[in-house]
Amino acid sequence: MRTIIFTCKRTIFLIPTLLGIVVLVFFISHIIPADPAALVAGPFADQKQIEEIRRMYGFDRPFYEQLWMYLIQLIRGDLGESLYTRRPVAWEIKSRFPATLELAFVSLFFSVLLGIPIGILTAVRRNQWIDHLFRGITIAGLAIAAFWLGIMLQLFLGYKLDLLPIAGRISGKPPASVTGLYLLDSILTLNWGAFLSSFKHIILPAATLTFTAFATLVRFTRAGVLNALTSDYVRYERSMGLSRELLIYKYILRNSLTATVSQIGLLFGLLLAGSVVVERVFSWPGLGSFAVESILMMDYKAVLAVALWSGFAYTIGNLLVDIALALIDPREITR
Amino acid sequence: MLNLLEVINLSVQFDTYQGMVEAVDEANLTIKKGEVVGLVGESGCGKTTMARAILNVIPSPPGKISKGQVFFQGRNILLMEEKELNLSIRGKAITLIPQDPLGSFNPLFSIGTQIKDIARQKLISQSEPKRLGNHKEEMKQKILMMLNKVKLPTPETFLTRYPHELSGGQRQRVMIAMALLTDPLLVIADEPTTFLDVTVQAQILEILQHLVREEHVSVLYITHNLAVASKISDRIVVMYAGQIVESASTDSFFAHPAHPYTRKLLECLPSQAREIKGIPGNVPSLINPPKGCRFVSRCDRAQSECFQKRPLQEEIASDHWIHCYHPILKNEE
Amino acid sequence: MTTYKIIFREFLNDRLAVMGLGIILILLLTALFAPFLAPDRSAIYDINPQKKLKAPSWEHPFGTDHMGRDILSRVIFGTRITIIIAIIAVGSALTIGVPIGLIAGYYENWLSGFLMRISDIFLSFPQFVLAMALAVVLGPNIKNAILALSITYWPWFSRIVYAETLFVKHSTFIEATEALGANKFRIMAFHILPNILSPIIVRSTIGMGYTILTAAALGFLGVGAQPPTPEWGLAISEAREYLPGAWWYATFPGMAIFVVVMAFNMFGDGLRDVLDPRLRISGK
Repeated sequence: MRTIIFTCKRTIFLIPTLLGIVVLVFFISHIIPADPAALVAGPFADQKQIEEIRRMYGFDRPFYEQLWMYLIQLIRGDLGESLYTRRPVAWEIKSRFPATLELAFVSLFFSVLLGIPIGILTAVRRNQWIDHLFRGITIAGLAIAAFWLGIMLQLFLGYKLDLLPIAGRISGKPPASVTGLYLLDSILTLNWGAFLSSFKHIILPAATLTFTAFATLVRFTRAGVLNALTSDYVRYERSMGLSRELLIYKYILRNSLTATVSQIGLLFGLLLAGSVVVERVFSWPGLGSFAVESILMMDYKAVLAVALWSGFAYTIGNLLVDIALALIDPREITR
Repeated sequence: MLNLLEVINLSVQFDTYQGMVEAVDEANLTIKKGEVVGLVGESGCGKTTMARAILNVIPSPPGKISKGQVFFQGRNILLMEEKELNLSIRGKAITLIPQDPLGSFNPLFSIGTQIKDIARQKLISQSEPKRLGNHKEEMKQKILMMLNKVKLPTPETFLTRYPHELSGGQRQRVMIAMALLTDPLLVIADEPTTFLDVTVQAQILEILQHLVREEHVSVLYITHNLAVASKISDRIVVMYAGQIVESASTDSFFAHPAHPYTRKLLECLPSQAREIKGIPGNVPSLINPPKGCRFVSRCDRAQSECFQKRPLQEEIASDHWIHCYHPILKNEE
Repeated sequence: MTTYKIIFREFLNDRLAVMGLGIILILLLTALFAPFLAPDRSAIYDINPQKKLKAPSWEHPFGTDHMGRDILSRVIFGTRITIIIAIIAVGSALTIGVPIGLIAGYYENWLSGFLMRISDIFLSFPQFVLAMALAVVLGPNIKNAILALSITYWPWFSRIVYAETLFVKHSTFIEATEALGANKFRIMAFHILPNILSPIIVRSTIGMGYTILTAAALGFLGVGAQPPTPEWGLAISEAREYLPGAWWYATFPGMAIFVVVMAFNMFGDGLRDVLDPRLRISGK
């Protein structure tokens, strides 16, 4: 019950944050540029067109009027038109988001699958060879540029060894669209060929993102477990003869989870950010590559729309993480 | 009569950045069945370390038990395997009431879950896990009964609460209940009232005294407060800088404290008759401690042999033992 | 043994951290003496079409790029760009973020709430996305990239400084100093700040690594350094067109990024372990 109240409270608090994000993006798009009209018009417009755009979009009005207009537009779902595809930006975002989401989820899944157990292992076997091995691997993971790793993987696993495809989401027809996530859709429609192909295509980009992301998960899980292992309550539990297995799997796991779960929120942000460059490298048709194409076209309206959307997604993701944290740690609710 | 607990020549060391800390040096301690022994000493003198050594829960990378034996019911439990220790000794035959009730509870789980886990471990050690089902209700009743005994009204409501929702006194009462739940033979109470308010301290002490008499358990009561120790103990053992210095029945102890440190300690207790006195000097560092008796630097009776070798145990009166070359004897007063 | 000596000794025990420091020093020296170290000084901007896309050899240990320029020299000169970007961006973020955090933490009034709200809003974006958007709007070049990086990184500092200031503020010695009537600026600058230095230092070091990665990503996307600047991220993006044939073109600049960022991370980790046991993440 308390958790439900907590969730409602947090969700309401979300609104000022989202508003803040909108204001910030507005600021960047309308206030910062020397001539917003020229930017919207694009590099191919002439002076007359720029003037017209200035009037049409209201760039000559006072800024609070502009902010109001911007808000109204957003509520109506109007994010402008893409210079690159000539389609509404909102439509582009909607159709491309599932691809990015799928990549992010698969990477998140593997990061958690690998990160948490390795974190626990290295904590329990602290300072032994396996701890040092993974310390090296995680340091490497945090230091590698995602786009470079992607290119290297393409070169060696794709070209030289020809094991995995290096571009796109699928070879052949995509499965019938239910959620937009190919892996899920192909399972739901029992299309095993599509599943296999999507899976092969997602491996390299997901591996790239996972390698750079799971490192931080390992480190924080390790710290959380170590912290729990040396805590007073574990000492008491040991003194009272609770068996090691019970201790680790029931108690310590939950205690170390708080540090880990809060990292997952951060991780989601890293994955969203990383997907920009990784999508470009692997020609993955998601939001990231759309942003890059828009940058190349100087279509800044589209870029800002993507930024806005990322801000929303990241904030909502973090809200979900906070709720999960409250479920794990009852003290969070009173905080 | 066979002693319940016999600690023989126990030494514990900790390896730190600054050097090897000799936390406990050749300590000897015995506890009989049904006896309450008060282990008294300043903070940092090694009392808690000794308690942990008895249960063999000294954290092993920095620390280790370098010497000594701990006989419990005639068996050296330091040689026991972890599994057996967990099964029969820890939380079963020997239980612990820790110093810090807040820190010793796991903050993420309800009180009920934690109590049940301890009770269940005892059941597992007694019967096969498969037949636990029959005992579940019995277990619950026993837990509630125990919570009643420590004077927690409406014990059912406590089971669903979380540690941070209880007061300090309530938490410590639950700790006491947990320590007695499994019908232990020896309870190690490590400064159970230190973290509590003074008013609550008295209540907890009373509950403890009552239950100890009722359940006939032996207790190792660790404290820095001589007054409290005198109220609850049958014997008093004094520890200084990792060494046991004096050990006697409570009556004999207060009738005639013989070790210079003990004397000074008693003089430190505030009294209306005298000004407040302290003991000049400081506790010696436990890294590279003095070779002989560790109280030398502050003792006004110290002579050359005190610096060379630690004095062996000597019985200076009936059931009154001391480690000193120059104890303050009756005829000196 | 004084505290500083103990800290120094403990630091030297951490081999990885010392290695990191070593690499950073090499990096600084390389950047400083780049013109003397690069085998082919003139080659970084000159175009030599006959020599284009040659594989690594004695003459060109890292090979040549599509304009015939020696890649080793370009990587060496790239260290200058990298260091300048990192130092200016992190330095500016520090200069903005630390005072904001101090003020917000010390004065607990509406101003603090406001400042922290703003900082939270910046933090509700993934930093790279925001930096990218800013860089696009400002115009793609190095100066704007640095600006974008500073503007998006300062909230990380103000967050930490805010939390630490709150913590230190309530300690007795601060209250004593206030009771003695010291002026608020003095208290913040000379009493609170010295006590919260270690998390700031640690964050700056790790921030250098992070900033270098982000700057390279911006360069890769074309919103950072522009050709013909020998920036590493830009080089990788230019190299893509000539893959898989000219593998050396993309590999070596990327390795340079890897080595440098790793050095900063190892050094930062070691610093953290030694300076502030509360922050021990690597948990030794």
